[in-house]
Amino acid sequence: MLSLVSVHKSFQPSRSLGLEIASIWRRRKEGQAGRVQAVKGLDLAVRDGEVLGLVGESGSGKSTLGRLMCGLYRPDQGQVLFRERDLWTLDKKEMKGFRAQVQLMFQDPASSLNPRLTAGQALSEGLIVHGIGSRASRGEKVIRLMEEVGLSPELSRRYPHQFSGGQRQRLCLARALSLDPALLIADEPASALDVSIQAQIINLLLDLKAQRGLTMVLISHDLALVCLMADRLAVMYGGLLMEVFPRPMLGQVDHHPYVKALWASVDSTSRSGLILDGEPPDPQNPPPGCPFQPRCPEAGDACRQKPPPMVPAGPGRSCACHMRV
Amino acid sequence: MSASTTPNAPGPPPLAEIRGLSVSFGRGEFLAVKGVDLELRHGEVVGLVGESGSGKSLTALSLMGLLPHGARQETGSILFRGRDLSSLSPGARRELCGRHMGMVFQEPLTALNPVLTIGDQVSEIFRLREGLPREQARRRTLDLLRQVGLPNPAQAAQSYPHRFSGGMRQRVVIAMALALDPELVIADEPTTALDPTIAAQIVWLLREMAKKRQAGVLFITHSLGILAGLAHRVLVMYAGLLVEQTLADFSEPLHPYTRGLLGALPPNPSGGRPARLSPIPGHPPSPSERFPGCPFQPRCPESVDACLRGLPPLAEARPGRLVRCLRFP
Repeated sequence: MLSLVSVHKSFQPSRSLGLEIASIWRRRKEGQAGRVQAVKGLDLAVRDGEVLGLVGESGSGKSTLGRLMCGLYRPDQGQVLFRERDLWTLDKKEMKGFRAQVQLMFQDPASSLNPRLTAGQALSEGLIVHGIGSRASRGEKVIRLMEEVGLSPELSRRYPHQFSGGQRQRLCLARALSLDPALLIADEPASALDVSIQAQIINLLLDLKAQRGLTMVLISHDLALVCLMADRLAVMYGGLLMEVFPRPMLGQVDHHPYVKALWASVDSTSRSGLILDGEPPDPQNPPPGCPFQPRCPEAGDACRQKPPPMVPAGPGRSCACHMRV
Repeated sequence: MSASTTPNAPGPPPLAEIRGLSVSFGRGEFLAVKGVDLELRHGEVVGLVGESGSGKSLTALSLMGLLPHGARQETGSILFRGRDLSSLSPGARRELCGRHMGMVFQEPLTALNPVLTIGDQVSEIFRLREGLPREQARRRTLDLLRQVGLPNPAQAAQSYPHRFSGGMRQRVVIAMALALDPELVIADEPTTALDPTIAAQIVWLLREMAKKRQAGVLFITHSLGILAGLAHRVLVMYAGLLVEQTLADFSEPLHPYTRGLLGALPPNPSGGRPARLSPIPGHPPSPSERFPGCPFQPRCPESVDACLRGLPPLAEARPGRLVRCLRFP
């Protein structure tokens, strides 16, 4: 449905005044422009009807990838293809059609809802922008959407601050579904919520996926959560994909060392040993070669030379590791 | 460290003891903590678990005497090494808490002063509390930073907090909490802001440091999985009340709330994949809500009429295991 072809994306790091000054000093000292490479030449395809789980630590580039997928960011290099067409060659009208097809659900429901719009207004806004339906039919659609995500339609006149965290996330989900998208990208949909509420949202996503036949990209740092929902897993580290594999393969194959460490941090039966030393790479100052190499227990000389290529490693699986080629 | 229950044999008095603690907000109308009893011994790690608004952080802050503005201790007493803290003058209490208790906060960036270097902030502790001269304080600081695993202590000491990653900042906060070899360490969600592989490092570090110093540790978290292999026992809070004292690996939870929490977690991926999760219906109550009986009753799948008729006591259900539920006499 959607594929990324060797996409790159870099940012001028945003910063507060204090950090700005600190970084000017540093730049003067080190003489570099200090652009951050968030996504470094990455290929990934989302298949029709699947749930693709995108896993990685903060700063791994997973949220950037999500935003590239839905056209919020334009790649510096490479292409984003939606149904075989390059997103950034579409004309204005086609782009509008694309945006209705691919919707993003953000991590923090409090800051992604307009505080001045009631729930009903938030849900009908997309319909109005895309010129769908009459005033009356939009009202009906709002009621259907609210019922679909388990909100009482009586709440449609309320403002976001009058909802609880879990209700707000339901509202965000209803808004993302209001245009009946083909692809839903959910960026950490449950991590801002309490444990008992998280499960409610996850169940709702599972139900909607089954009822609507949604294709989904689920972005999360929580491997256990992703495993619950995803058909395939894509694990990112330092702006690169480390491994892509079908979920049932987890723990059954010789995984990338980073996937092994992640797995150990979730699986209590293997908790005993694997605690990684060190820190994720500083995006402004990445290590040479493989981004995981400074923390990798298996790293060799080749790992410090150049980044590992993604190579097929079994049915439906590919892995980027010099030590596994 | 293996999970085991507290030795019940009579011995020295507990390191810290909270008796019947209630904390209110506003003009006493909202009780956020309702009669909590808690005991902590030397070398013991106790987990305190609950969702937001359960009162777990306020319980810990009361122990330190650091209740935020607007919160007030209504009833109860806090004993540290057998002394009632409320009998002390504010200055004496500050001295006692500052020297013998250490606190690790949830968000390391807000716990550190952005305009002081790491070295200045850490050595300040030695200079103020132990009156060490600058050079000696600096040496102690570098030594301490090395102990918490900062790779280049001399360089780290000269850096400002914003130059550090979250994990590194949390190491600094841990260093400051452990600087004076406290007997009691309170860690309030120390790993919540961190990535999983970094969280594992921090838990390991806290555990090793506490073991070496035989300190008592109160470890507050909402993530249940982290406590296995770390804590000796776990206390579960709901709506300002202790509802259960259970085993750290949650192998046999008794209270319906504890069981509900465990059921709501995504299962270990190595097992089978369930079609859905089993969430607890409804949402956690706000402190302003009042309940005639058990506060979990509206969400409880096993509630009976009697649950509405009064709050059940926290009673011993199995040796060393306490439950606040009618079903467990």
